[in-house]
Amino acid sequence: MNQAGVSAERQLVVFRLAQDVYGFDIQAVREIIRMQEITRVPNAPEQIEGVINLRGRICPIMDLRKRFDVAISEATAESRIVVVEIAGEDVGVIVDAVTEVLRVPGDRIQPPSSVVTTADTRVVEGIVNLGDRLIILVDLNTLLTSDDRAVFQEMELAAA
Amino acid sequence: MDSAVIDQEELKVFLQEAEEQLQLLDEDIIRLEKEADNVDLLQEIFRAAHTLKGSSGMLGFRNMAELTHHMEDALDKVRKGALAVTPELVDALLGSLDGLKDLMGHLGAGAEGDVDISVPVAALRAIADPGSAGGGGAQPAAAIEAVVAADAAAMEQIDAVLASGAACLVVRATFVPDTAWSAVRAFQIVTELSSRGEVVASLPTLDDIQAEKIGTTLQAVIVTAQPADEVRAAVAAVDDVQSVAVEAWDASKATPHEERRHAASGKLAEDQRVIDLGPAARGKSEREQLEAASQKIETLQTVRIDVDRLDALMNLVGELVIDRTRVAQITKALQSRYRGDEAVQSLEQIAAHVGKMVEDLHQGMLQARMLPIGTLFSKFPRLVRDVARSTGKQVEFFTEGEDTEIDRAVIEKIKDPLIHLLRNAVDHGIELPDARRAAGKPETGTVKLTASHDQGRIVIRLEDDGKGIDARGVRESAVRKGIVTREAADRMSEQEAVELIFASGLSTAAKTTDISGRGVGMDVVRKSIEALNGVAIVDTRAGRGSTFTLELPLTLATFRGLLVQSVNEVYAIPLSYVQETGRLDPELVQTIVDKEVVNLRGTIMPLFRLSVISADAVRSSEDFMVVVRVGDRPTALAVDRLMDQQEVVVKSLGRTIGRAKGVAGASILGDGEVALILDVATLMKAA
Repeated sequence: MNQAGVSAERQLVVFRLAQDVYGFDIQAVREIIRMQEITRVPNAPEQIEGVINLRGRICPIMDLRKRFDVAISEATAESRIVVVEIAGEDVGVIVDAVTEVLRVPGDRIQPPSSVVTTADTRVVEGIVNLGDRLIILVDLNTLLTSDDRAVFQEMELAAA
Repeated sequence: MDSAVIDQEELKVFLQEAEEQLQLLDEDIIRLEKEADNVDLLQEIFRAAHTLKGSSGMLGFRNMAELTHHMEDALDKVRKGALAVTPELVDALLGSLDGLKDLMGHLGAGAEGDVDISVPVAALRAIADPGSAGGGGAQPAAAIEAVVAADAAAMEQIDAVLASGAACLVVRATFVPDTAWSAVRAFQIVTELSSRGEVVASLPTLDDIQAEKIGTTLQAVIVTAQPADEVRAAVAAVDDVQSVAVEAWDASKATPHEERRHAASGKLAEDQRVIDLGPAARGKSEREQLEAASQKIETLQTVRIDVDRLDALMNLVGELVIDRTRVAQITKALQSRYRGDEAVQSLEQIAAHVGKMVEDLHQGMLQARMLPIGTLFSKFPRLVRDVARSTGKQVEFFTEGEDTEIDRAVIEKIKDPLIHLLRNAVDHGIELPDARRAAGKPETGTVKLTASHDQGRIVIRLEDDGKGIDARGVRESAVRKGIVTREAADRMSEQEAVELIFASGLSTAAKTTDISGRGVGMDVVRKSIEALNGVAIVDTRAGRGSTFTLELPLTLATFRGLLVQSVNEVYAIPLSYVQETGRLDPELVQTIVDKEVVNLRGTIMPLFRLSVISADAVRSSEDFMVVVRVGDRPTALAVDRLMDQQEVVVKSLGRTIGRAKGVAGASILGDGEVALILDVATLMKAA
């Protein structure tokens, strides 16, 4: 993944979560919607906040703050749900604010280093260094941890 | 080379059709055992075997062609009265079917491979051909007269035409060798003939022509008022036609050439050499093609559709159903706000119309997913026969209500439970002939499987007139295995004791047999049925037999649900679980060993407060309760508010969330709000 990023220009949806600035690759982003009432799902994995009705479809909502272990704040007028595609399924991610869409030259993306302040570096694909600021590029494919995936596989086996 | 290079699509079609033929054979051969004199039935069986032989031979599946050839051989002897229908013959034929199924399994997985067919072949030959099976003569060229003769309807038509004095002509056209257009030319000829009269039959058939399964000849029988010369000229005018012969129908040629079908394996190898020469030589197996096609005619009016595609459509329609409700609600709101506004009135009319159409579409989609339950039932006569024969029982098996339609997803899921129940009925229910006679019952036991609709549900009933379930035996066994305590068992009513058969780990058979003891128990049966929002009930009378009743929803895509509110969320509970609803008066609630229970008219049941599963630890009012029944255990669910009942469209929570205990899925309500569907069975376990 990093190798691909070295040469090509990437387009990112940049958002704020607590003190940090993050980015999703725009190719994975389906849409950005306003915060809405979330139906909690009991006994769901911890980072799952619940589900919403996304135009007639059930869309799970993930709270990255729980995943990244950053302080959870109340939703504000700026809060958004970024709907991304992870492993073929739409998942909504709660962010504090979406700030911009940014084109980034591949050589500005560096591998994750000690700069990262989040607790879990596995979900970081790279760090975008724009001189005056850093953007943490989130690797959506690892957003669901390996533990989660093991659970999926188990489920799929059970369903088969 | 054993098999020509076959593309996957072709193989898929072949396997699908072969499976249908096998299913047909399976049912018919079982019937034949009872109706040995049924000529039509025998003919149908023969034709199915012949079709299989033809299509497998055409694709170069030698083993399959050989096995079907031997079946055909034996059947032909039966047809000619040289062989009687005996249980041994039926066994041998059924054994061959198993061999074919095995072969098909390997074909599906890749190659015909090294499946050994010598056992079924030997069994067939031992019966059909006690002497030696020598080689046969060369196969005469197929003539359309023979094909027509095998088709009773066509013969009738021709006889009627001849009786009325009209003319019936046989047209034989040969195309120039190596034309790439034979299929097109053949089609042109058939079209040409159709414009001049009625084409009774053609060889190859129109289907085969369209599938380009054609050699260098075309034969057709037509009923026409036109003179033979004119017809000949018209056919000769088609490009690439080398020669045409037109003659009057000669009934004497329409005698089936029995000897032809009566050759042994030596000739078969010859068949295949011919086939392996490639498409140009395939004309010689036209007869096989024709018969394969004639089997297809019945299904001509249907279209196969990928189940996933159907499910995707169903999902879309499900969303439409939700939107319809929302549109109706918004229209109502607009009406009360802008009373008398013309645009709003138009909107209301349109909304009503769209709503009606969406409803029809929804019903239509549900219908499209339905299959007659006969598709499942038809697999059972074989099963019952096999079990009966291996246990020495005599069983008459009846089915009723095969036309009852049910969601195909439900059919898939009730197959194993039904197989288990049927095996049990024969193996444990029906007594041995001696025992039955001693009990004053007919030696042959009866097992009856019926399906019917009842108030939006399907009811499947399995009755046997066997010895019934011994309540005391079940009780003792349950105590011995530690499933219930002695005290509990002694307190149980007969019915409650019988219901213990659904408890896991209990088997009442004195010895576990190969047939019933396959690791799936009655507990699995009940769980499978309940997983479908269904109910399994047993009713038994000692010495008289047992009846198992399965009540199932027609479809898994929607169900009638009761909506309740707890804290801030709305939950849907399948109505099939709901026993009653009511106010949760504080005086009903008692505490036993730190657990809350409800004492409802003397019945003590656990109380589960739904608020505990919501993340917020808010203490809510919980003034109401819903009594749900899982298995035979009632539980009271405490909720804040009882809402209405409605049709609930089931949606999955998706892979990201996966399985959340106590939640079976989600649904979107008319106002756009999401309701979680309670999985009552697992919810209770969480309690």
